[in-house]
Amino acid sequence: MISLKDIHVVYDKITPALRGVSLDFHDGEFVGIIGLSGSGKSTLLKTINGLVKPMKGKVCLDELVLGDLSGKKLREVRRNIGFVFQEFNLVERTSVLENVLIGRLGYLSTLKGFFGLFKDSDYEIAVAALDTVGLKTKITARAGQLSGGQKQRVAIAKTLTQEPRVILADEPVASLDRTSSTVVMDTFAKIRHKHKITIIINLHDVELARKYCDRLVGLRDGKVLFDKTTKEISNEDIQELYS
Amino acid sequence: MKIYKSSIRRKRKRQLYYLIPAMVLWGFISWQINFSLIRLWRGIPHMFNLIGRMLQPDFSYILQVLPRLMETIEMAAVSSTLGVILGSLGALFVARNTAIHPIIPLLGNPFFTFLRTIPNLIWAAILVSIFSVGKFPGMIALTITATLITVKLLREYIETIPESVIKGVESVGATKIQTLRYGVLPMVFQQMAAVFFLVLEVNIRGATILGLVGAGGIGQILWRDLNHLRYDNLATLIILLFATILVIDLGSLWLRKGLKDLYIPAKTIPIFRLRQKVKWIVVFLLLIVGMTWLVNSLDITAERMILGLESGARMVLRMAQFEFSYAPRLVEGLMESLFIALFATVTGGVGALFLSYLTAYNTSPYPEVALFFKAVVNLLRTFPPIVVAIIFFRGVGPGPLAGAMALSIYTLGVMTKLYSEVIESTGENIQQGILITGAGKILSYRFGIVPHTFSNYISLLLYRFESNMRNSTILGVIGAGGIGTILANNIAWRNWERVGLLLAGVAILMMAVEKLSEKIRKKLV
Ligand SMILES: Nc1ncnc2c1ncn2[C@@H]1O[C@H](COP(=O)(O)OP(=O)(O)OP(=O)(O)O)[C@@H](O)[C@H]1O
Ligand SMILES: [Mg+2]
Repeated sequence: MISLKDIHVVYDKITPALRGVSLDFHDGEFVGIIGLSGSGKSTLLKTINGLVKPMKGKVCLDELVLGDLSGKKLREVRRNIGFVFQEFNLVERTSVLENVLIGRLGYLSTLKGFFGLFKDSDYEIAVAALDTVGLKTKITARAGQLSGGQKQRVAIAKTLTQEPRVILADEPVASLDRTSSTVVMDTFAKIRHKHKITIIINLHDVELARKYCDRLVGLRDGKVLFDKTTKEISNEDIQELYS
Repeated sequence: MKIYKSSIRRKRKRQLYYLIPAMVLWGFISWQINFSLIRLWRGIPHMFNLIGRMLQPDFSYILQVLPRLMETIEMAAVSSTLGVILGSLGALFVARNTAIHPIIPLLGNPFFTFLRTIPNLIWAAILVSIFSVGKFPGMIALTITATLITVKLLREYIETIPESVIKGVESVGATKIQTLRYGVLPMVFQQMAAVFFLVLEVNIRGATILGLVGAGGIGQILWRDLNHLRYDNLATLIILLFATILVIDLGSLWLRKGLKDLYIPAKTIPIFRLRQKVKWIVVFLLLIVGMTWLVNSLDITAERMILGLESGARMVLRMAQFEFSYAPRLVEGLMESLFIALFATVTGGVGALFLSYLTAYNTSPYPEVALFFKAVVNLLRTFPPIVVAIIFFRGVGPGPLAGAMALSIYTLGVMTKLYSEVIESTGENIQQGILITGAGKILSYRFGIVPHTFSNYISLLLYRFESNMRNSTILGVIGAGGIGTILANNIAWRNWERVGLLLAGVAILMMAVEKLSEKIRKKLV
């Protein structure tokens, strides 16, 4: 379980981005975070994986308090929390397989990782992950040559090989067309059922959020406006969020 | 109507006002470098005589110097390889997004910029005086140049790698070194091949002339023949060098094109894994072979090496104690180099304005004319200015005039090539807009294309000026005047306190010129 306790984030000492957010995410949940641009969605995810340090409040992964970790411990936590970016962030000059294997680096010593001495099991996990996202045929292709939707699925496969407990996704379909968006969202739904991984996803498309998530958190001006299961959400809630 | 007419007339007048001081300035500069048409005119027969002999090369002499030519190519190849490897490591250290600590780029980059201002030939001259005549100092000098170029090019490239890609690797819990290996190295590797060939092109030119200061290679024979007035042999050598440079340039162009988007997918996972392993074995084997080759080709004993390093350390210490009383000579030398560079830039630049008209396909009266001038321009560009300077030495004797003329010709070649390419890429409509009014091709060039591309022209010219500043220092080493001559003399006499001051002066002037030209270029766009 991930729990956020009264998180305050202030950028550059003057721009408040989160103002007292407390949330719990249970194992295996598929949570959507929605809100206007600038409401603090990205900041929330970055706080969870430690890219942004909160000014006040605590982030806990089970009993572990994330705030004061560094070095090896921090890397171990990062390994447990997968992150999917809007712009895919693949190394475009290398093959799909190499990009997916990057997910295993957290399990290797620096030296072994440097020389690319991955174990048999690493390869099996990587291939299985590519199979899950439906890209087994693209294993040897060059990452830069794929379409946007395929790149994002490679990024998800990379995150899967990390064998994380949580996947955070920051607007993963914002730069994709309608069809590719659906394929990517289906992929998230599939891995959630298959691997029991908690998924927290930022979306600006409310329709997609209502279709795929089982719980929605509405952020407004850095505060939680609502936190309900998708069934409980009413149109009024949505209207208030975007007004 | 009247108002427009008078405004245009006023503009004409203003142009005239600029033109007159410009002419006066050019006259002043010409006077400073002892420009004299009479001397040039009298020198022409001698120079043609030399060129005439070049047309009857002595092939038996080619066979005789072939081993030295091979040595030269070897020097360029080994030093480029070594330099690219060292430079890549250096670039990782000083690139802002990969540095271990932000202080390293902050201190490292100015340091490398300073080292880059010292021309290759000066490095060689200094190293010759501590390690004595031979291949070794030349090799080190070339390696230094190769390293510095690589650091600059790769650093700029690494800094364009988006932070997000690096974050993408970091986010899986990879260590710093793993992140560099998987996020940055694949990009760097690809680029390294291109940088290697670029460096090789620079170093083959460098290797051929390093011998002028006794740093090995074919240049040493060139220098001997020059001093013994064996102009027939000299001519043969120049042709040989020209051919070598041409072959390497063409080969490198071809390979660079081929390597640009090379990607051979591994068909299956076992093949992929095999390739991963073989890759490292090949890298290690190459390293071992390379090191053995290097040590064998260096021909230096450990004893000599230690001796050299000791005197090198002493030299650096002495250099740091500037002899300030020598400053007047420094200023004098810098001024002369500046005038040589200015003269060459202006003369070559104005010439290029006319020659480009004939060279660009879309302005040239006939395509055949364009083709002919393209060949001429490439010829002018491929000759190292130092060789052209030697030809001018024959005509007008050593001194700033020969240097300035050699650089003018080189500038004319490079500027025409670059500017005619700019013209070829400008839209048809600008030219047609004027042609439609009934004006001829020349007028449409003068009033359409030239004003339209003038800022590109100036920006290219500024780059040429920077390059001419560097080259005029190099030319000075073989006696074409300016700061180079003073530097070479003081290195020969081992007046290290003076050399230190001179190098600092060169560095400051070079950096100032670069900054100024960068500022003007930014203003232009
Ligand atoms: N690196 C930063 N430095 C300074 N201010 C920032 C930074 N990142 C975000 N902010 C500010 O913090 C606030 C919240 O930003 P955040 O990126 O979390 O919003 P968001 O909900 O993800 O918006 P979007 O939908 O546009 O991505 C905004 O006011 C934004 O301007
Ligand atoms: Mg955002």
